[in-house]
Amino acid sequence: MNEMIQKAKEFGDKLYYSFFRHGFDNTGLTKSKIMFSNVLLHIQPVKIHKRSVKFKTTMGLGLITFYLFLILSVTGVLLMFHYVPSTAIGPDGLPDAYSRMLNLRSNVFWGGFLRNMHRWAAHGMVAFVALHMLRVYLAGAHRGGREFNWVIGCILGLLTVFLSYTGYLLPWDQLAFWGVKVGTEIAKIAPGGALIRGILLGDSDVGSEALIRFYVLHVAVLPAVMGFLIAVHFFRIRKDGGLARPADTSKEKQIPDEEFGEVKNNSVFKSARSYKLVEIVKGNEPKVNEETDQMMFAWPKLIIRELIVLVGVVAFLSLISVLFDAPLEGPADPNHPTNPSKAPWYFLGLQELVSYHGFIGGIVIPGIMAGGVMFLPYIEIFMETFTKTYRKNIPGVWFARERNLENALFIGMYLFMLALIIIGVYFRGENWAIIYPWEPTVGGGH
Amino acid sequence: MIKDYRTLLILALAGFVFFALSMKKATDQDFVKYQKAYYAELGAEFPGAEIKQVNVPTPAGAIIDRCQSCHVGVSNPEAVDFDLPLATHPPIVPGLAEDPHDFNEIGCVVCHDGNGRAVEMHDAHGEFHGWIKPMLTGPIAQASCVRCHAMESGNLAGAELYEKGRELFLEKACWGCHTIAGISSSSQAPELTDAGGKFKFDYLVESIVHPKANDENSKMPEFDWVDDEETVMALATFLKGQQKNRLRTENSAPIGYIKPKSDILRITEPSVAAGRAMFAGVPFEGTIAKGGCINCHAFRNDDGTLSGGHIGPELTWTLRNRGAEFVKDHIVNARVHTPDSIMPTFKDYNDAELDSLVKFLETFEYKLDSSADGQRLYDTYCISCHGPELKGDGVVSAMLDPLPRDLSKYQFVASYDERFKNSILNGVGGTAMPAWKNVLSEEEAETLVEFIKSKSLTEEQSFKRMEVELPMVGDPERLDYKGKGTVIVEANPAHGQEAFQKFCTSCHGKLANGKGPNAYDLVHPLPRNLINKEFISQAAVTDERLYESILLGVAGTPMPAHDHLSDQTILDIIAWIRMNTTEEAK
Repeated sequence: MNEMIQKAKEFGDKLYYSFFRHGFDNTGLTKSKIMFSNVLLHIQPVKIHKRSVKFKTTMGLGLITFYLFLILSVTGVLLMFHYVPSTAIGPDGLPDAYSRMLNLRSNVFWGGFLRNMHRWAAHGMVAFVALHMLRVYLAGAHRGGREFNWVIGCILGLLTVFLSYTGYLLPWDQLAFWGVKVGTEIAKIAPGGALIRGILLGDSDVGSEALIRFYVLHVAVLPAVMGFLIAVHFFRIRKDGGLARPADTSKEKQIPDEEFGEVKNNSVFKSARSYKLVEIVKGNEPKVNEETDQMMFAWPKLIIRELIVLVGVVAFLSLISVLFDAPLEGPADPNHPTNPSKAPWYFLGLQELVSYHGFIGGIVIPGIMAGGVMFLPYIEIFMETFTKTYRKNIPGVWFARERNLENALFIGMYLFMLALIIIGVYFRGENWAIIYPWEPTVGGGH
Repeated sequence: MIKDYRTLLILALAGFVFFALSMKKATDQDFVKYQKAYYAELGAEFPGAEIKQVNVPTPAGAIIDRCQSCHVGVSNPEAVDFDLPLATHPPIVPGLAEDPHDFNEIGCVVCHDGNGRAVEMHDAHGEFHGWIKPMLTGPIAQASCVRCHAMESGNLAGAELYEKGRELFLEKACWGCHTIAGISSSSQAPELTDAGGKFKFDYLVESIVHPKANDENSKMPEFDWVDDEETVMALATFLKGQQKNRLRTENSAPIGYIKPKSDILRITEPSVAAGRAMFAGVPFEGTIAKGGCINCHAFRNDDGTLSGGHIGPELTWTLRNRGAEFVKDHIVNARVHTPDSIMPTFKDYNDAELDSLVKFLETFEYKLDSSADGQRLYDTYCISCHGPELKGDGVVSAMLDPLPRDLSKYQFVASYDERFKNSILNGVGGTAMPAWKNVLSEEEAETLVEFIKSKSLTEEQSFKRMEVELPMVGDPERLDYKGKGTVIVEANPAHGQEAFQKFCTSCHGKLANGKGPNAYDLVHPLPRNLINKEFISQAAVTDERLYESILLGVAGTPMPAHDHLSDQTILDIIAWIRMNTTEEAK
């Protein structure tokens, strides 16, 4: 009998070690193994700086954005099982794409919830990309060798908006049709915009061709590009030595070491800490003793904290999706514009600008803003090099006093866009006239 | 560290609860509750909840209909006293022991619209923003009978409201302007062949009652019968039934399908009775009623009382004023005489039908006796267009183009009173002003002119218009002052066109049709349509009159003086206007 138990144990061990190549003890070796022998975890370093897990450092914004991308991928794939990008008219006089939306709401079990998750996560992702960018800039984390990663991040931000925008058309309801119509009309104003618009829409107007193109972009092309760029984005963070931080962090208040768990040293070379080798990265400052004291094992603290963010995001999104249904209006009708026709909210600032002047508001200002933001670190470097105004750059510190001017300008730009978006969303009524949001709106037309 | 694990646990629990909530929302739906209540009320055992789905086959595919998941008792006669949504459907075809409509086969959406696949009430009833087919409740669901049964020329039991609407469509002369394939053909107003497919019921009602509610520029009159709710409902029900998307073809239609009659009985012998029937829009001896003049035009009975609509001019004197040929041409195409008339085109009338109408118009004989004074004459003949205060705002004025003259402007009356008698007796071409010489004597016309002058001219409102003379070509005595003393040469229409585009288009429009951009801000009178041939080429509109009007403006109207133009330029413009309105123009 004992023999059997012994054999079963042996078999169980073999089975376990075929999946995992490590135990769960407190030794440094195991803690390292856990991280680098798992394909999901090895993206993170074995050892991290203590301040990386502090809420104040990142507020988890980039992580939330990434998790929203994952949620969007999962719910998106589930929705793909049901959706048809076709405008063919069905027996009840509704376009296929639209009647699939109705099905999701009524026929498909859990379909409404999935759609809600997907919709709110998409809006959330656009918002969190913006917040993440704001955080990175205000903490000065876009400098010190990370300039190109900032550019990649900006491209990822644009991709996020474009992904959200291509998805906006897919329900093929009035909201979708006229939102996209407004957006593509703005594109016309740009030099060469008509050509790009033509390529995107595959037609002179938003129609069945545009739907299939937006669909393919939305479910295949853009997520693939996005996934690749996210990998590059993460890879570069690792290669740049983890999160941006000031050279000297000894004065900062940190999470106490005990919080990171006890580490048992079972190495035969008791005095040597061989794992330090893992953490040697190229840099322009020697990071010797005081730095390594700040480095802690990523397992389990970092992973648990990341899980908290993940579970928090999922829980919060679920709650929102239970409480609020994603909007769905009547089927798209090119003959009856909604009044007002509003683009999705992240374009409403743009639409508001366009309402003042087509070319300046629609192309010049947003062009300068997008280009300027994307190449901002290089502009900073250029100014510093050519005007010899050396400004000390302290990466990873919020609102560094040396960067007050830049930070003020950046916040100003955010507030400007936010104000425009708020005006566009809440203060614009029929015929783009100024209204107060508490005034009852009169439903027009059909 | 423990704190982190605790946070994670709490969040995970919360996430789990929210997930569970989403599941509950997806499974715990109202129809279960209704089905339980239904079986409890029946006293039967609850067999378990189910979604009752009917797939209604149509030529284009199946319509999904799950309404009976909540309306679970529609086909069960025992549920007749149950509360909604469990109750039995009331009988559709009155007087039949068993209703031929089987809801297990045709479902509910076919007649009642809404969103059939939904099982949540607001969703299913189409009560969300932008839904094209909100539920049709009560008798207005009759609009849907024609989706399967054809009723172009017959009655279907139970569809009385729809049938009434169909009769009204003909009687109220809607057909005169609106096309519905198989019923009418007119290009005057939007086609309504697919009105029910395109528009919601409420929108149709709104459009009938307030035609300008959605389109301020709508030319559709506001009829005085729209305060009768039943009439409007019947008409809207009929219009809601006009859908291109039919659920049955002619061959697969259920019993009750009546093929539309292609050969409609027509009037072949002209008679007063036939004309009267057409005028009133009622069927005459089995012919389809295709008239309804009375909805827009009024006439005076022999005792002087008016009856009819106030959208077009009163017709009591029309035949005497205009003559039979004019009247017939005008019915067939009003634009021949009055280019801006909104009168529908009745081009499919045959000669007998036109003659019948003329014969009926001939029966109007009302006339004032010769003792009538100016006020009485005005109140009888002029007031419906020119209005009680002579302001050109009579009851029918709104739909007239050009608008009736505002005779309350003393500048106008003082300047042009010598023209009035001629205008009354011979009419004004290209406008709604007819020639009254067959009705009024010269003395009566003079009385009217004196009446107008007495109303509009007072001591303190004197106005004297400058006297100018039309310059003659090559006249050495009359040099063009503005043209630096050059001699007037033959007018050149090409130069005139150039000058017109420069000085006149803001009001008169690029096409000279009186619809320039500024015309929309003007109220009364509106800029003259200068390509109105009938008007420009009548005898009273001489070159001298045009010259005066351009140089000095038209007194009492928005037309300003143009004394900055040289005589040569004005003559060129006149030549261009003349060129546009003569036969050689095209």
